[in-house]
Amino acid sequence: MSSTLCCSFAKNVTLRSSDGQTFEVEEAAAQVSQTIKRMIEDGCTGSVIPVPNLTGPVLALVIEYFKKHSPPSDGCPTALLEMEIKDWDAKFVAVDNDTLLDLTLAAHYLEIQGLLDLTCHRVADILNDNSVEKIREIFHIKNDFTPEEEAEERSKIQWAFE
Amino acid sequence: MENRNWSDLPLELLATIAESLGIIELLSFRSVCKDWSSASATASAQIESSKEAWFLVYGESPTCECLLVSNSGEKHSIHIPDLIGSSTTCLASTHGWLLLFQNGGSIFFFCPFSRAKIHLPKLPFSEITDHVATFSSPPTSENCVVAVISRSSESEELEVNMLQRGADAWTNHKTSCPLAALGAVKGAAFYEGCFSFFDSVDKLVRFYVESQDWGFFRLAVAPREKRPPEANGLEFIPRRKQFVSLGMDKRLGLSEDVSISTCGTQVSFCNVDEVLFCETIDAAESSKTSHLKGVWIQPRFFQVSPTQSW
Repeated sequence: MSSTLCCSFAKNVTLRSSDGQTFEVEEAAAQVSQTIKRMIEDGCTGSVIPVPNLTGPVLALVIEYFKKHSPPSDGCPTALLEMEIKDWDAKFVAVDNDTLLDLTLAAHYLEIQGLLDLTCHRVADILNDNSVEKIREIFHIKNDFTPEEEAEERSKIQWAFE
Repeated sequence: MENRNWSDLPLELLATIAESLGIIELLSFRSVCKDWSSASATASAQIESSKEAWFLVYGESPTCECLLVSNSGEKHSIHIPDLIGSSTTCLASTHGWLLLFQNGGSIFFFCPFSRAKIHLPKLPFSEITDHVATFSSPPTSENCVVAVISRSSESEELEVNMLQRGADAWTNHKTSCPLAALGAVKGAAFYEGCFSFFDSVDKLVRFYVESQDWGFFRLAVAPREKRPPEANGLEFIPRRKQFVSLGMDKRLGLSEDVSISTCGTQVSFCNVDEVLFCETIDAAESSKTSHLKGVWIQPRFFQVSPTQSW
């Protein structure tokens, strides 16, 4: 009963992605994003909040994150809940590199610190698990060091990769 | 978000990612491409400062390589020319910087991972014996103060040479020690305007930067490592035998004919400050020994501009 009661009081906002898809989400959940929080507080949101940097599928993912991380309506999160969220987070960012890039950019643009920490952590894991050549391949990045520059840098850090 | 690409990430976002990385990931990150390298200019593997210290073996080495042991026990061979040879000794290690002394009196801060150096004015002595040092904050910070303590073995006279950031000469402070049977200084720490120096048993000598006063204490009970620091009347937990208790000789694979002297550090681990002491481990077989030096270190990566001066 209490959940229906809660929902009837909760205020919703509508978010619109770059490709025109709209999503309805509780205002409290959307405020996990500092950017959206400021827009709501400034009252410049109207009926629909545009999120022009995110496509529909990415915004849908981010909203899943909002829902999981919206502040609990009844006081402090329990340790059990925190553990469950941690597990959920780990699965949430166990995605392909394109999606990881989308989520990183979304976290940056929407100022979602928790999500940014998560994606940074995932990037760190990739950096830790792969050679520099493989990292360039994974992230589609061109090596623009001259052979001399690369050799000099490599001589100092080779130890870390042996 | 068409055509989005990892190579087009905004510089500030790259910098945020770089700031979140540990030492190994940061080294990888920097070598990916020029943009990533320049985005990480201020990243210093900050995250490592709240973890357990690593251990670095340096000095005389037939292979001209130092041996680095991570806090997870991984061993790396690392070529650091500045740390090879018998004339260089590490006097202090904290905040991710080493304070290196070279016979003759020259002294400088050194970050072994970036190879950054900051030279200090020469010390007023040319060789070290039982000198121990520490510093208050990173050498790039405005209020960094360095203190080197020593004690002449004939007299009970204690001597601190202190250097404030930007100063061009060391100030010398001497006192005769009222503590009976003060042993060689083995541990050094800085906390709230005061340098603390410990012997290996229960004595503590303090030197206050502002007032340039000395304080002498005998700890009521020899500090127990397992008690919280407050219970010892200290701000930190002294770890007198970290090298021995972690079995570092086994981890390093040291043979029986090797002796090693280590330089301690001050670390913050799980929000508790710990002071790792200097240790001297003699070789089990005393004939024909070789001597190594080692230092506990937080693996940070600091870059300084070529014009950076003390």
